[in-house]
Amino acid sequence: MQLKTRERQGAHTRAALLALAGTLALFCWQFLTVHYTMAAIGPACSASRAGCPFPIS
Amino acid sequence: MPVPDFLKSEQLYHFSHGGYDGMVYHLIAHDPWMRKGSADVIASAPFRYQRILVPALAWLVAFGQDRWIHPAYFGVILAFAFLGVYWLSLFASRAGVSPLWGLAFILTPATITSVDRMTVDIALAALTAGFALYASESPDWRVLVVLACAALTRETGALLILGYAAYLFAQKNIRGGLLAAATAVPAAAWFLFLSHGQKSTLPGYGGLVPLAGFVHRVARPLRYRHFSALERLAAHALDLVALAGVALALFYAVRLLVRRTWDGRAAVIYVLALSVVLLRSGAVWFDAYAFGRVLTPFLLLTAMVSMGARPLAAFLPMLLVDARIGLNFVTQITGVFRGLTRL
Repeated sequence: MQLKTRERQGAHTRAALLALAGTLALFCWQFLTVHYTMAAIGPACSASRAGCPFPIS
Repeated sequence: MPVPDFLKSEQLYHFSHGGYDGMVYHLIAHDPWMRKGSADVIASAPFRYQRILVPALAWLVAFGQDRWIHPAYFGVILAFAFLGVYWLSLFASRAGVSPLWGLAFILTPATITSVDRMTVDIALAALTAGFALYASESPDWRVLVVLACAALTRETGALLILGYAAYLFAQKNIRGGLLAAATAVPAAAWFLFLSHGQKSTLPGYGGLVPLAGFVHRVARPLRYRHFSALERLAAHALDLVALAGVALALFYAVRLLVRRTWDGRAAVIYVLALSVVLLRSGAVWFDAYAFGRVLTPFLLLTAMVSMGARPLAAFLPMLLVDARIGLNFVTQITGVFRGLTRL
């Protein structure tokens, strides 16, 4: 029984770590695309970050 | 789309082609209770406001403060990415395959398009993974919460409730069926409040001729007037690849039916497959960006149910749709590559 509980906790921890890694990867991608690609979308955006589009479409 | 007065200070970028759906949900996040004028500038506001969960969560996280809505909205989208990978990873473990398959959630069309364009589809995709994990013969509070949230995320989330409740009733689990059906009440009340007694536009999305929308898209490819000849060729080929992905997922659903697979998840897959067959709207079938994210609950659930034996084959329909979506990312990928390498 104890082993089963430990296995289940291990699965939750692994899943949480994977989820964290995946979320971080998506965040980095969003940051990179806004930083390197979206800045070229218009003069307002290039001049000031405040003018950058939301959402990043 | 015009910007309401209270948001003029945000200096929002105006797209010449009108923008994309995420813009609408951003406005709703600033004004979820329709007190500041957002509803007046949004076309089909009652229809858009139905999808309240993500904008309302962003508003809650930002404590209703306009200046915090942007990070809150991004945070909510990423939180659903976390939940999607987490639930899919747990499901993979229980299905006897590597938990690393949980990362496949990042590749769902809904995730890709939502991270790119801030649409709410990622939330329904994550909730679909949650439903697959928690659905059982007797529903507990977790699956009920997931279902209630699904219907508040998008009206298509109600299909999960329909399939699951129908299954429980068919199993003569009346209490379970009633509980599952009751999860539609918050969304139904919200939709009723928004409609002001007017007819819903939803029936216009379907038709009685099976696969009419799908066949129309196959037979009449998009024109891509502004593309070069090479780009046009690639886009047309990958459009067909994406549609082949949908056809493959439908085949998987039929295979489940032929094998007489019958449980809560399979019942939902049958309902979703039927909705794909009857989906006629040209707006949804317009391109892989549109139908990919709308059909993600179907693609993902079909993959999850089939992943125990051959996970790669199970996720293949989704990956075929991704191939076309990936073409839209070429500019971004080269932009990021050039930026990082200073080329």
